Amino acid sequence: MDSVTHAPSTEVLRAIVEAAADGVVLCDADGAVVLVNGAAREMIPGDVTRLLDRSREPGETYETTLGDRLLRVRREIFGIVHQAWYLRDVTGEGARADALRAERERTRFLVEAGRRLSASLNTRRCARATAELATGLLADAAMVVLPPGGLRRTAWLRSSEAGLEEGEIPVADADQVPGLAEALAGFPPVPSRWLDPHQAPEWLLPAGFGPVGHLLVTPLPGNGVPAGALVLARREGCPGFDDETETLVRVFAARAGAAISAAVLYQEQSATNAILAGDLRPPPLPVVEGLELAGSLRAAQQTALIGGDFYDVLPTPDGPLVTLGDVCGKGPRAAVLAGQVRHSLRALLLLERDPEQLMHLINKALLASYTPRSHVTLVLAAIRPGEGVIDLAVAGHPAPLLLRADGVVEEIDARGTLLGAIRSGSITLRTATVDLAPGDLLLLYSDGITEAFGGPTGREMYGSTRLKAALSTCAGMPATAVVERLEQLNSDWLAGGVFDDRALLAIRRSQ
Amino acid sequence: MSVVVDVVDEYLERVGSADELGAVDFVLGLLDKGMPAESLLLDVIAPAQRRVGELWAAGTWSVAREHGATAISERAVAAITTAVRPRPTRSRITVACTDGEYHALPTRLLAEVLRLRGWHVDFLGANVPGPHLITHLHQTGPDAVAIGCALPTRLPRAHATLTACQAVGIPVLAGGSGFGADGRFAVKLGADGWAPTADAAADLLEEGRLPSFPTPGAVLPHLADEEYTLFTKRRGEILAGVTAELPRRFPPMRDYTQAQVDHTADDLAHIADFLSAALYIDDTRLFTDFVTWTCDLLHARGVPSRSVALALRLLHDELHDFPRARHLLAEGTLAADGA
Amino acid sequence: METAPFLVEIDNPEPDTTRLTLSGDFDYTTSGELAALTPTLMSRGLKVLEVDLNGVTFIDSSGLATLIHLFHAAEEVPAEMRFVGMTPYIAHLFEVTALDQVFNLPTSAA
Repeated sequence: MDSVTHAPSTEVLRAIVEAAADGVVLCDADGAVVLVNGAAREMIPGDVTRLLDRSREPGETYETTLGDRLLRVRREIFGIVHQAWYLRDVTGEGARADALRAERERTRFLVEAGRRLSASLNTRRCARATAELATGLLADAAMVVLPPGGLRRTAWLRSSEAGLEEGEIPVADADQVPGLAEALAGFPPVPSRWLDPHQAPEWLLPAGFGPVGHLLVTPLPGNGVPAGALVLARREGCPGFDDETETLVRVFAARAGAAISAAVLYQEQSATNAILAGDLRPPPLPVVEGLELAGSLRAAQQTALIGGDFYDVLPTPDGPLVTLGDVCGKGPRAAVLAGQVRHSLRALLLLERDPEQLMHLINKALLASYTPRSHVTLVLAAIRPGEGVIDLAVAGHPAPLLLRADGVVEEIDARGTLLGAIRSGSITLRTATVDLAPGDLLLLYSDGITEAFGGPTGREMYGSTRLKAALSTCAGMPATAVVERLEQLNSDWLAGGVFDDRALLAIRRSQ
Repeated sequence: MSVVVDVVDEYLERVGSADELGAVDFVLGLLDKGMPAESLLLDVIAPAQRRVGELWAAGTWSVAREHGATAISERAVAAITTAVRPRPTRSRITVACTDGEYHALPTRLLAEVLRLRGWHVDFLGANVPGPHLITHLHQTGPDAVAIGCALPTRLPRAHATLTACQAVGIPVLAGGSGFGADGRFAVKLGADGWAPTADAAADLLEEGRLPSFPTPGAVLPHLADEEYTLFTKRRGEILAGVTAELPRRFPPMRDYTQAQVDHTADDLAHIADFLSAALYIDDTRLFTDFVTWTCDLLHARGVPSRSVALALRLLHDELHDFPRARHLLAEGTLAADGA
Repeated sequence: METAPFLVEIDNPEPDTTRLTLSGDFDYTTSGELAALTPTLMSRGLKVLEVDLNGVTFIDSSGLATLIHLFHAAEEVPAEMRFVGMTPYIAHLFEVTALDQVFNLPTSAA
C-alpha cells in the first residue's frame, strides 16, 4: 500500500500538546512565550518565564523548587526559532524516595543488629552490641540495664559519643525510672514508656550529655527469663521518638532480648559445666622437695577439656603417691568415672599406701561399681622422698619409661591386669622398684601418646619406639621442658588429626 | 643501652647454665633495684630468649639446653608477675596461642605486659584447641582476643581460630612472627589488628584502635584452585614419592643411619609444612625466606644444603598438576642455590 | 585420619562352634556393633567361641572392654572363648593389659 499520510492540522497538534500530562512551554527566539499547555499552567500559576533557565544546554534536565514543590525541567531546541521546556512535578517522588531511604536504613539497621546479636552467647557482649547498635539511628545515648545477677546490684552498659561505659546500680535505684524495675523483674513486656526528661536520675546519662529532650524505656523481652531493659535518650532540640521509630525500637528490643536471654541461660549452664569439669581436670602439681614434677593432659573432647585420662599427686605422710590412669571410653562419661577412681584412691590412701595393695582394692571397688564397663588402666608410683626410690605398680597400662641423666632410656619391667575387667577378681601384678639418681627422670604416659595416628602418611602409629627416641633427646632438661617437648612432638605427629585423650607425667630427681 | 645489654648477657648466662634459682634471683634483684617489670620482661627476658633461639639455630646450643633455658625463663616470668600484681582497672582480654603452637613464651610476655598495664587478662597458654577458646570467649565475653602464632606453618589453623573468634563477635589482635615480620599475613587473614611487639600491642589496645565488633572475615580467592586442599590430602603419598627418589639422586643417602633417615624425613615434612602454608596464604616470600633460613641453619651446623635444593626439585617434579606450588618450588630452588 | 571400616563376620565351622572374624578399627565408635550382637551369639548349645583378630588394625579401650564383655558372656553360657588369629600389635596390647593371663590365646602369639 502506498503511504498516504494525513498531516495533522495545527489545531490538532495544539490539542495534543494541551492534553499532555507533562507541562510544555514553547518560546520563540526572543524568549516570548508562544504556548503554555494546561499542565504547565496548573504547575506554575502566574509568570511562567521565571522558571525557564536559558543558560541550560539543549536536552539538559534540571530541578527547581516552587513553593513546597519540586519541578524537574528539560530544555529542548527545535530548529532555529523555537525552544521548548518540559516540566514535571516530582515533589511526590522525592517524598517516596525519602520514605524508601528511611525504610532501607531501618532494614540495614535490623540486618546489622541480627548479625551482631546472633554472634555471641555472652551476656555482656550482647548488652554491649545492643547499646552500641542503638546509638546513632535510634538515640544519642543508649543504656542497657541487665537483669540483676543477685539481689542487690545490677550491671549496666551505656554507649554514647563518650564511648562505652559500664557500671552497677543498686537494684532499688531502678525504681527511679518508671517501668525499669518491672522490666528487670521479668514482668510481661509492657509497651515502651516516654519519660519526663526532668525526672531522669543522674546515673541514667553520660556526664556532660547536656539537656535531655526525649527519653524512652523499653523492656527487653526475655522468653521467660528477665533480659533487662533498654533506655534511649535524645538531646533537647532533636526530633522525638515518632511511631515508626517506636515500632523499630520494639522489633530491635525483641531481638536484643532474645539474644541476651539466650546468653543468660548459656552462661548459667556453662558456669555449672565449668565447675563440674574443673573438678575433673588434673590438679596443679605440688612442690616436692628434691623432685621436679610436670604433667600434661590433652583431652579428645576439646570444649570442656575433659576425658578418660587422669593423673594426681597425692601427699601421704611417707611421701607422695603419683597416679596416672586411663578409663575406658571418652568424653564426659569417661571423665566422671575417672573422677570416681581419683576419689576412691584418695580415700583408700588413708588405709593403704602400698601400690600393689592399692591396685587390688581399686579392682574390687570397680568390680562392685554400678557403672557398666568401668575398666581402668593405672600406674601407681609411691615415692620415698630423699632417697629417690620409687615403688611402682602397673595395671593394664603401658610401663613407665626411665630416662637416665646420660640419655639412656629404659622401659620399666612392670606389668599387670586391667582393673575392673575380670569378674573372678583375680589380677596379676609384677611390681618394680626404681632408683632415681640425680638428673634421672621417670615418665608415666597413656596409650593416647603411643597410639597417636599421623606421621608422613597420616595413618601411622606414633609407637613406643618413637616415644623412647624422643625421650632420649631430653636428657638434662627440666621436667616441665621434657613434658612440653614430648607433647609437642606428639602433636606435630598428629598434625591436627583426630586424637584420643593423651596424658604425660614426669618425675625428675633434681640435680 | 649498654647497661641493658650487660644485663641481658648476665641473665642469658644463668638460663644457659640451667641455674633456675640464679635466674629468678637475678630478675627479682633487678626489680628491687627499681627496674620496671615491663622493662624486665621486654628488655631482658625477651631479647635473651631471642638469643637462645639464635644460639640453637647456630648449632651452639643443643635442643635440650634451649628447652631448659626457655623453661627457666617461664619461671622467671612467673616470679616477676607474682611480685608485681596490679589491680585490674581495664576490661577483659583473652590471650592464647593458636592451635598447634607450642612457642608460648612470646605470647605469655604479651599477656603479662597487658596485666601490668591494668587489663584483666585470661591467658590460656600454648596449643589452645579452637573449640575450647570459643567456649571461653562465650563464657567471659572479653573486649578482644590476642592470638599468638610463632611459626607461619600454623597459619591455616590460626586462620580457622581467628575466623571462629570473629564469628562469635570478638575482634582479633594478631601477634607473633608467624604472622610475618611486617604483619602482612595478619592483614591477609582479616585480623582486626596486628602488633609486632607486646608493648605495641598494649598501646594499640589502650588507644582503642580495635573495632568493638570484628569486620567480616577475609576471603582468600586463590584457595579456589584447591591446590592447598589437594596438597594437604595427598601429602603422604607425595612425600613418600620424594623419599623413595632421594637416595637415587643423592647417593650419600644410601649409607645414612636410621637416625639420619628420620632426620631427612623431618626436614622433608618441614618443607611440606612451609609449602602448604605458602599455598594457603599465597605468599612466595614465606617459602623462599624459609628455604634461605634452612640452608643457613644447615651451613651453621656444617651440613651441606645441597639436599634441600634437590628435595625442592623432586617435589617440583612430583607436583605436575600444581602450578602455584611449582612456582613456589622454582623460586625456592633459586633461593637455595643462592644461599 | 582415615579409619579402616570395622567388619564382623560370623560363621559356624562346627555345629557347636561359632567363629567371629573381626577386621578394621575396633574402637569407641565401632565397638557398639559387636556389643549389640553378643546376646544372639550366646545361643544355647554354644560350646566354643572362636575370635579371629588377624584383620584388626586398631583396638582402643572400648574395643578391649567389648572383648572382655564377650569373654564374660561366654563364661556364663558356659562356652569356651578362644582367640584363633592375632597380630603382634594385639598380642602386645594383651600383654600390657595382662589379658594374656586371662584369655585363651593361640600359642604362636604368646
